[in-house]
Formats: sequence, structure tokens, C-alpha cells
Amino acid sequence: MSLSFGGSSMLARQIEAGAPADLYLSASLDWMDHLQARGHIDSTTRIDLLGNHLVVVAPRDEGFALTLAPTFDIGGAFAGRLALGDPSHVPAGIYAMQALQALGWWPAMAHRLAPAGDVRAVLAWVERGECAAGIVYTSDATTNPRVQIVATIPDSLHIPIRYPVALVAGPTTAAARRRLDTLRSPAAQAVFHRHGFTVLTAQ
Amino acid sequence: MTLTLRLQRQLPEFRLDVDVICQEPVTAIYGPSGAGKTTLLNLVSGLARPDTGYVELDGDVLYCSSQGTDRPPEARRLGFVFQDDLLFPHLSVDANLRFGYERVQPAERRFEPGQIIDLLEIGPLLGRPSQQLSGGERQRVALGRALLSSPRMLLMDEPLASLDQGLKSRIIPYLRHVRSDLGIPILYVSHSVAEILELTRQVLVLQQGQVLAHGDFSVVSQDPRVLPLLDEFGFENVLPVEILNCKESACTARCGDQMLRIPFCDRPVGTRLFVGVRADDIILARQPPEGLSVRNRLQGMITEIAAVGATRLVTIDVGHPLVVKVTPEAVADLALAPGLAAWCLIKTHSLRLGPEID
Amino acid sequence: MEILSPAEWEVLGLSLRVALASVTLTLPVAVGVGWLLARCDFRGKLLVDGLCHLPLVLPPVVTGYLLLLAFGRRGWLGPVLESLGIRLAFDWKGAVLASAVVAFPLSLRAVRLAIEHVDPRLEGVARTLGAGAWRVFFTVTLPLAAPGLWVGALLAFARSLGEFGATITFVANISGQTRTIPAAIYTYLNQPAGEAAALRLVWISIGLSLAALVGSEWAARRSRNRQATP
Repeated sequence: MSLSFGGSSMLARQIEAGAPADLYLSASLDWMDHLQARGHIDSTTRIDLLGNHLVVVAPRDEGFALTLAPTFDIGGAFAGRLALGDPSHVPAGIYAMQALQALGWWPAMAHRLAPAGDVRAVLAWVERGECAAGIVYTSDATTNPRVQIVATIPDSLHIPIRYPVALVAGPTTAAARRRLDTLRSPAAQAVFHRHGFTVLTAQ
Repeated sequence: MTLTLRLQRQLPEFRLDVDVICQEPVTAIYGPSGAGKTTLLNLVSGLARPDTGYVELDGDVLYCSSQGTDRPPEARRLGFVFQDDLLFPHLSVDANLRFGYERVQPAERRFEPGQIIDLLEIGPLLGRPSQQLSGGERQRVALGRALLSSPRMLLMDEPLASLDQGLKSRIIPYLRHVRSDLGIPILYVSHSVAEILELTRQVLVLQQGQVLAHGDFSVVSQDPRVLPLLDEFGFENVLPVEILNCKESACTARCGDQMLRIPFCDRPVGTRLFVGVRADDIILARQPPEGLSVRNRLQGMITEIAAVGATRLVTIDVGHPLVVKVTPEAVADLALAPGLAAWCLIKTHSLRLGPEID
Repeated sequence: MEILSPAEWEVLGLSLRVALASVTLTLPVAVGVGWLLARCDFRGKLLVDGLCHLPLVLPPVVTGYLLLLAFGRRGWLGPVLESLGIRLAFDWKGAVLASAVVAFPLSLRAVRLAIEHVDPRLEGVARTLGAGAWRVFFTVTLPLAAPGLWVGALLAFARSLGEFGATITFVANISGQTRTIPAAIYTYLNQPAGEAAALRLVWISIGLSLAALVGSEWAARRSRNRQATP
């Protein structure tokens, strides 16, 4: 079985255009909904596989104090821009924007953003000190020695981060169904844990 | 005017090594193609650099390798006219002419545009794009452009080579004007003896980067090393004559004390001009022969016999040196030797009319 | 009905500004380096030539990352830029630099070719007429190479209009600062309902490129005609 990596939105558009995929694992509920509404996935097989958390990171040697409360002066906590996924379409950015809004920090931060096409770029900017702060997934920050986690954002501040998975609509093979089951196996769970994801559905 | 040239430069085919002093108004540089003539001009102008050398013009040192003097081309004030006119294609004729003129300080300008335009008769061409002119017009403009930069000397590299004979003969008078009326010294490269003689008698012969001879043409052309070069391109003997009278078919002229029948030329009595004759068009005789159609018999004394390859070159003084090409057998049969008297027989039609002497 | 929304006008305006600034930055450098490669021989010439073509060969994202390494806050030139008060990251100036760098090899080739086609003997004649080396360059070499310069400018402009990967890696996709047309198209495509807006921008891109092509061809032809040989 071959793997195709990409942004959730790009992959969804490819599947919509008829790309020969058996399985779709998305970082965004929106795009899964988009495909489901157009009948591109087998909705009976759709489940929420994984979860994740958001963290605020800073360059390893330039940390700062951060309290997750509306009264905290986020604007004065660091200089320059806040790196995050593009809130207009990157799932990580969408969650981050929701958290900022829930904390009441959005007015102060809205024009101090550095929107990236993906979380990798966010990490790169924080690592290089271009941005004093960034919002990424726990799974990205824990494995990166060049950034430090300054705060963990509670799930309550944004819609749940869910990674849904489903079989693509149309004739499927037994192998594809088996692969879906494997993703939910204890062995797979251990791997996901190790990389900072939370597993939602056990077999 | 004194131009001192000491130039050495290693080229792919040979080594250029020149050590001369030029003092005549026009010095012609003559030699076969590939002899290094163009390279020589490039070295003098500063467009190329010698390995070692010394260039001085009227006391002004332009280049001295031992002292590290190397005046850039734009500071040498030496005008250059090429075989390809090299007019600037993006400029009109007028703009081309003014290119160098504008770069000269008003106090140092020797010529004004009007003067040069009149001299070279390029007035009607002024507004035209330079690419629309004929070959002859282009060369006149190129000459005018060089002159208007007020050069101290003109370097000309076969400027007429790409023109046909008719054009050449129309431009040569302009060159003579430049020489005589404007008084600018000229270094004139050419591989055509006839063309050279239109302008000067002073010749520098270059071959394989070495100077074979330097001086008056009549002396230079006697040099046995030079003769083979002349063979290809011209005539070895050049006689100055004066016209005495002309009939329909031929003219009578005087060379020193001797008479010559030369082909008809429509010139007034008293005109002095050169006539040329090839060394292998002259017949030698120990006695004046009878019953021959040949009209011209010049008497003289043999001064030298040189062996050149498979032939013998006999130099005979008829009041003016003549070189005659004969076979070794002829030399033996006639027992020719320096000091003996001999006759030169030349058909009227073997004589070629050359440029006038002024 | 409006042709474009205000946001789209902003994107168009930014793209034009960035592309024009990029050409202004790239072309003089291309002329200088092009002259060097066309007229001079020196040790390491091949290496310089190769380095100049790197942006053509590297993936744009890699180019963007190298720009970050070189010009970022902690980059090699970071402290120098900081002391001059120049901030390139997340700023339209950074977008200009990214565009200029990726466009450089294209304009360099065109310019170098044009200079090589100028007969060096014309430059020699000009010097004998009293013009120093700089004068010769500006009054003979450059005018005669002009058609090629227009081609180089067009290539740089078109490449800058379409530049995306290096820009987005170096300076992000910030509306009003660095969201040029390709970035905006990318953004709209990533939104489920964004195709119409994306398509409008695609048509604008095509229109701009055609206009640039026609303009540059006209300019090149004009300067070529001034030198036409019969």
C-alpha cells in the first residue's frame, strides 16, 4: 500500500477530482465533511481516529512567561509576529485562531500573525528566531529540540482537534479494510502515543 | 613627427618583434596576410598590450613596460580606421561623427565638423542611420569620425580592402587630402603595393612578425627577401617617368636619360608618374638586338645577381635599379656577372601605369 | 457589478509592486554580472556561473529556506540588516528579495547573451575615439544590448508574478504585505468555496503576463530597429 502525504485540503480536492485513493486520513473535520456531503467517502466507515493538543512554543533560548487568561497582556509578552498555520485554511491555524478568540487575544494578535502554509514552516520560523512565538501541535513540539513549550492550550478553547479517517467511496478491497482496522490496533496506538497524539477510539 | 616603436609580443604562430623609428608623414606597413600588421596597429593604439616594449610619439611616452607606463587607448589620441568601418549601428551618421569630437576639449580640437564634412563630402549623409550607407560612404564617415577626434596620428588598417576598384580610386584622393591638407601623420597598413604608392614611398615590410625592410620603396623592393612578397601582389619594379608626348596608341616618356614607350594615358605633357613592370616581364640581352617588336631597350650595368630559390634575380642599373628574373642557365649561357653592361627589353604593354608623383 | 473585490484589488496591487521592484533590483545586478561573464576571463568563472543558476535548479522552498538562513534575524546577514533597520521577514521587501533571487538566473542569461552579441571591436573603436571604459559601456555596449535587456526584464517580471514557493517559505502569506497573486490563489483554493475568486485571479495573471509579453516585445523590437542592418 502506498502513502500520499499532503495538506488535508489538497488531498480532499484530489480525491474530489478522482484520485485513486482507498483511505483518507484528514487533519480537519471540515474537509472530511466536505467530501462526505458530496458522497466521496463511505460514511459507514468514518470514525474519529486521533486527537491532538495545541501548544505555544518559543525559540529554545528565548522563552517568556505566558498565562492563559484573558487578562494576560499577550501583546506585550513578546515582540514581533506570532507564527501559526494560515487560519484561512490550515487546520492547525483554524484551531489556533479559535483559541485566541476564546482567550480574547484575537484583537491584539490579528495583525501580528505570520500565517504559514503548514506547521513545518511555523516550526522553522520559531527555530530561527524569526518569530518569538508560534502555535503548533504537541506532536510537533515534543520531538523538536530547538523550541521550548511555553504553554499548553486546553481543549476547551477550541473545537476538538480530531483526525477522522474513512474509506473512500467506491469499490474497496479487503486489504483496504484491513488497513483501516490496523490503524486502530494496540500496536498502532503505541506509535501514535509516542509521537504525541491522543488515541480516541480503541478497538 | 617621430614615432618610436619597440614592441615584442608572442603570438600563437610567431613572435612579433619590431624596432623602428618612423618619421615620414605617411608610413605604409606592407606584408602578406597573417604577418602581424593588424596586431602591430592594435599594439600601437593600446587596444592590445605587448609583452614588452616602448612606444613614444613626439616625445610623449605612451607605453613603457620597464617603467609600467601604459596609457589607455582613450588617452593616446590615435585615430583608428578599420577595414570594416565599424560605425556605431545605433547612432546616426551625425552622431557617429560627433562621438569623438565631443570628447575633445574645445581648446584641443584641431578640426571642426563642417571642415571635415566638406573635405570628405559627407554632408548629404548626416541625418541617415549609419546602416543605410554604401560601403564607400561608410568608410568616408569612419574616416571623418576618426579625424574629428583630433588625433595626433591616424592608424589605418586596410581601410580600402573591402571596396571595389572603382570605389577605391574615388576614396584615395580623400586620403591624399588628409595627408597633404590636414598634416596628420598616418600609419597605413595594406597588402596592395599600388594602393600604398598612391600615398607614400615610405614602406615598412612585415613578415611573420619581423621587419624585413624599412625605407623608400625603391630600396626596399630590391631586397631579395622582399621580392617574393611583391611577386604575389604587385610589380617588383617601379620607375618614375615624365611624359614627353602622347599619340593615339602610346606615349613617350623619359626615365632619367632613357626613353620609354608606355601605354596610352590621357595625361598632359610633363606629368610625372610611376610605371611598374614585373621582374619576369623583362628580357636581358648582352647586345642590343635587331628585328624585334620590342620598342623599349634600356641600357645599364649589372650590379648584383642573387639566387632566390630556383631563379636568379639580376639587378641592373639603368639610371634607376631594375630587377630581372632569369633562369640559372641563362646566367651561365650569357656569362652574366656584376660589372657587365646589358640591355633590358620591355614590351610597351608590360608596363603598367601607376599613380602620379606629386 | 465590481470586477474585483477590494481584497483582490489589494492582491493585484501588491503583486505589481513586488514584481516591478523585483525587476528593478534584479536587472542592474544581471547587467553587471552578465558583463563580467561575457567580457572577462578569470579563475572560478565557471563556479560563479553555476552559482548564479542555483535558484533555477533548486526547489523554490529550498531557495526560500536558504534566504531565511542568509537574511533572517539569526541569519548570516541578519545582524547587518538589523543594524540598518531593515526587516525582510513577513514584509513585502522580503517578497521582493525572494522574487528577485528566483528571477535572477533568467534575466542573467538574456542579458549576458545580448552583451556577448555586441561586437567588441565597436567597444575598441569607441575607446580610440576618447571614451573611457565606463563611457563605452553606457554609450555603446548598453544601447546595443538593449533588446536583450528588455527580454531579461520581461522574464524577471513574469517569474516574479508567479513566484510562490520561496516567498511563502521566507515571508509567509500575509495579506497586504506578502499575499501576491499566486499566494492568494493558493489561499482561495484551500477554502472550500474559494474557486470563483481563485479563477478570477488566474485570469488576471494571464492578462498581466500577456500585457508584459507584448510590452517587452514591442520595446525590444523598437530598439532592434534602431540598429537594423539593411
